[in-house]
Amino acid sequence: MANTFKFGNGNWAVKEDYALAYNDENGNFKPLPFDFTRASTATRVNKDGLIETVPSGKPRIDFTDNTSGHLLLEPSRENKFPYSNQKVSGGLETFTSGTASITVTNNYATSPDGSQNAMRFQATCGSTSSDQTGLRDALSMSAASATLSFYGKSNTSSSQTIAFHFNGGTKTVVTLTNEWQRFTYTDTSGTTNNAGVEIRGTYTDTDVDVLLFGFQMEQASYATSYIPTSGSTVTRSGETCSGAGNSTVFNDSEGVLFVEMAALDNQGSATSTVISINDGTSSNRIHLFYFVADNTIYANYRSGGTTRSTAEFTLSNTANVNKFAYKWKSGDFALWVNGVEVDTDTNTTMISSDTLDELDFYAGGGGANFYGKTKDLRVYNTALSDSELQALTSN
Amino acid sequence: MKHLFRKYEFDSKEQAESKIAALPHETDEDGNEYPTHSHTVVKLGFLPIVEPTFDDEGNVVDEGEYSTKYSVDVLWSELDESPYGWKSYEISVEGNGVHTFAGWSFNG
Repeated sequence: MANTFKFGNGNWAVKEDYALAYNDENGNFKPLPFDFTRASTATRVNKDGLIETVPSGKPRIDFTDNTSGHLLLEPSRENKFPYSNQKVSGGLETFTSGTASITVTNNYATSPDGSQNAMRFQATCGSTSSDQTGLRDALSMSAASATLSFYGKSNTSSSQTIAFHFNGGTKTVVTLTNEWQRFTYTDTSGTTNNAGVEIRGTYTDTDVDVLLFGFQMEQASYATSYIPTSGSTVTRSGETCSGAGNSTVFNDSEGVLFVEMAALDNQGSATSTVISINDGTSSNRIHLFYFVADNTIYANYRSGGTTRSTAEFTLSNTANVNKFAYKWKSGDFALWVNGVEVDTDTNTTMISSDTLDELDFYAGGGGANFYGKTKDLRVYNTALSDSELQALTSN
Repeated sequence: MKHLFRKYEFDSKEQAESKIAALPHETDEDGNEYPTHSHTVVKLGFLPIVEPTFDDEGNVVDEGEYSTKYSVDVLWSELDESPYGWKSYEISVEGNGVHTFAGWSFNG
């Protein structure tokens, strides 16, 4: 078997407007670069586990929860908090109701970005449900799905509970430990959303000392990477990654597309998010894509403008990292997921030779941008055996 | 890649949305429209002139006051100036105004 296209798997090379895939058959290294676009800066978690800003146009290799990294591709998003990381007039401000007191100290402790810019949140309240205090901002929103997120950590030796404050009300209670964690809450927003965190008698601990960082409100059903703000709301531009490879590394008549990846969301938007080998059009292409609304991974093979073969499998959670392999060969199509063959097909109508010439993180011809985390992506120019596919996709 | 940050105020939401809808786009085989441009368009909407006020429970006490103009920020790609039909709605603001793009200063 020949692995003619490699990307990731711990071997990353990126620079402005560029992410490197390659072919190293027989020890001969041939670069197969992707073109990358993002008009704004963005943040990632680096190898040291710290949040850092990445310049515009540079792909993000993100190390959240892993040491080998993944290419992070996200849609455009706006952080609706004008001050994401400080108590300030016109931004996050304290509020109290009933018996309660609160002190918030800006720039008190080291935050997940490694700077001394985490807030200290010290608060006490009485034991009734009307005793309440917290930190919030009145955000202008649309009456639609929205996701509030923040980083939190206990400032004592014990875990402590606080609650999300959303649409002016008490929502999910979360436990802050001695490790920084990011917490998220999704719900339908009002057109004005008083949002932040709080403690409240009968709901949370009533005497807390915790550290907070990186408040973010997005008008969407899931959270994306942190967007720092300081005085105005801020939008991170969407990303595209496309145009890698050529007709010599893709075999139209047989091969395997292998990807180890995760979607950004589970059971969320009804939008396809596609990885595609194609000829620059929607007529001839091999697709592997999530349809997150029904938690399904799909694969299909299309020639001459007609879909010839399809395969699909419902996942337990599209936001988990899974290993997928789609095999195409006349009379022998199959989709493998995490070591198991989950769907097969016997199509015999194939794409003409030397047609497929690029790999894109969007549908052939455009649209359905892939947003997710890609740890490893490979293309083989032969149809692998079942034992090889099982080994390739097993964890 | 070259980019251009501009702010706009339109007479209505419908006017803004018609301008945005007229930007290059195509329709896939499933009937879904997708943009073929790489501009980043942010609908800021009717911005507050007087902020609303709330009681301790988060209930609205005063609705505040909102602009009658519909605001949109755009980070244009590969353009030196606003495209046809947008130029007359450009505005200037101090600093970044209420919104900016990550890593960008409006008056920088």
